[in-house]
Amino acid sequence: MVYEVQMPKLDITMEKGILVKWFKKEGEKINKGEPLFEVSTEKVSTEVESEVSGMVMKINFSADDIVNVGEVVAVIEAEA
Amino acid sequence: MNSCGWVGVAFRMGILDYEEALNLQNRLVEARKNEEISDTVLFLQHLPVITMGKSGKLQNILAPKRIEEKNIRVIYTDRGGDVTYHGPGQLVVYPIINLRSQGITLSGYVWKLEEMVIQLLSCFGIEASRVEKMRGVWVGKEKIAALGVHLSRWISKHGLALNVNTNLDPFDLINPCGTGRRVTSMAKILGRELCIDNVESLMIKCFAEVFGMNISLEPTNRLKPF
Repeated sequence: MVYEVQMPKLDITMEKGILVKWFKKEGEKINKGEPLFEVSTEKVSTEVESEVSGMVMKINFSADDIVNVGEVVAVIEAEA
Repeated sequence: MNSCGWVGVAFRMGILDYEEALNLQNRLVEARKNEEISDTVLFLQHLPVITMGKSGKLQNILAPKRIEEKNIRVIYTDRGGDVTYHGPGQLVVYPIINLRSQGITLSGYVWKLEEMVIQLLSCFGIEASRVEKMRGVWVGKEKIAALGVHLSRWISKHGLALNVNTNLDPFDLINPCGTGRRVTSMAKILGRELCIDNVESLMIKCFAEVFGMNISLEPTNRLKPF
């Protein structure tokens, strides 16, 4: 199953976030609950965890990119 | 939540080197993730240091030469926000708390930190407020408290810094938080130095009040394992 990871709306006021860094590279395995990337809004930086276990197939943004809430930042091939 | 409500522990650390405090926070965050400790709040001051947050821009360090001459270190850190200065006389609070288990949202958390300072300042007759689209606490057009937070699995790190008796001169070496606005302190507004221990005691009370946390103060040797 292909799982699309979106830029989460971490807060009611959040419209976009700066993608600070990736904890995983394309092709790497990730477990549910492991941090996948880090987002920074104005004064708060937050680690975003993977909701699924599987393999990171595609990463759509690089560090320092500004990403709107809801945009697909990565694709994970999730374990069934 | 049980009938005792939210219970947390607090430590009064005195003056601590920035990196030492950061390492301690990192270890406490890991321990909190593993449920080895309960929610913990550190109250402390730092030795003089300039820190850059995640959205820090190099051009906001205005006088790198003078910073070097004054032997003030510049540290890149993983909190949110831009550049700031920490030093003795500035009261820092670092909550290592699980926001999710208390149902606290991200903006709710920032709001509470700001509210704690606004309430504290009102005890001294200082009228402080928030400024739209800018975080922190302001007195008129000057910033008195700055904040920067990091969340990992909804466990908080870093926090807020309030200028009590802070020497404000080092702020001229930077563009604080990238706002282009000036910084102030309680001592500057009141025209006298304050007993920082008293202000800290009051801050612990205000924190407990605003967050609705029952705080038990613990001796710092309890942190030795960390």
